[in-house]
Amino acid sequence: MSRLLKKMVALIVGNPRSGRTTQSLHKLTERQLIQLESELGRDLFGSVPKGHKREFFCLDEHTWVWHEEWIDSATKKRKSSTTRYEIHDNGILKSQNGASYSFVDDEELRNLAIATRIYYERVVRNVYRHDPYTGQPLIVTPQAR
Amino acid sequence: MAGNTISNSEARQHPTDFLIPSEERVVAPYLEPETPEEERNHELHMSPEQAQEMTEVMMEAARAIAFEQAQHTVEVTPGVSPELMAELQMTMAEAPARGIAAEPEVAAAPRYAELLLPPSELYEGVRVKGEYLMVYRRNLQLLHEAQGK
Repeated sequence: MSRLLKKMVALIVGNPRSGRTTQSLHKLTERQLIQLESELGRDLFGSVPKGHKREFFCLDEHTWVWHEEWIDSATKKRKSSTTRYEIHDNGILKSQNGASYSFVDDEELRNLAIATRIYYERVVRNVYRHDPYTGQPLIVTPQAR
Repeated sequence: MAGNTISNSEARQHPTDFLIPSEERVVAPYLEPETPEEERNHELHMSPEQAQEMTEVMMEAARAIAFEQAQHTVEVTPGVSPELMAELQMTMAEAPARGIAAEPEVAAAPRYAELLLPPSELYEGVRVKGEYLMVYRRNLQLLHEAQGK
């Protein structure tokens, strides 16, 4: 299994014992940080349907990941879909469930680009606690917590 | 929103202008592996230049996020225990107060520096805030001597 795939699986499957952490950011692992980010990213494309589990996150500087799990109403079996968006100089290559490679275009590409831009805005403000434009730290007041 | 195009600079300056209504957000990314050819023909096609702009928006966002992650993550390179890393950080921080020159033995170097140095010259590489701090065996010995170890 490739390093990238292992990392993706670990992020998606997670550690059943881990909950939302209250640790200081400087003590978090990369995986914990990405999990925090994904909490903000999962509803970028609309509300998550009941019974679905969705993750959308930036895996690294070349990869965005969309993971969705749900129970199939007909078979009552759990299904999942993992879509990886690889950033290349000439476009965004989409791979679904490790196969079906194709370049993203048109409305899908536009929406993805906007979503990733919003993801960045949200994550920088809410996880890393600074202004994405000025870089100034955001002051967290007790009321805002 | 549908049909609008944005440039990198516009997206940076007015990000909230490009919020997509939730009913449109579910349209993409497609969850199905394939979109029927006839449906694709009805979609608004993007010019190569627009597609390149969108790609760059995603690229910039991913780079920025990766940078943030690196800034806020302390990772240990293989073979370096968390205890040793903590010790190294502490001794490096204390070095100046103990009269030990932090330079040139302890040098902050870009992440790729480990690739430029022969392994025999590198004692440990510890990535802190996205940078590798290079600590050489000789320097660590000096620090240990100063600590009376």
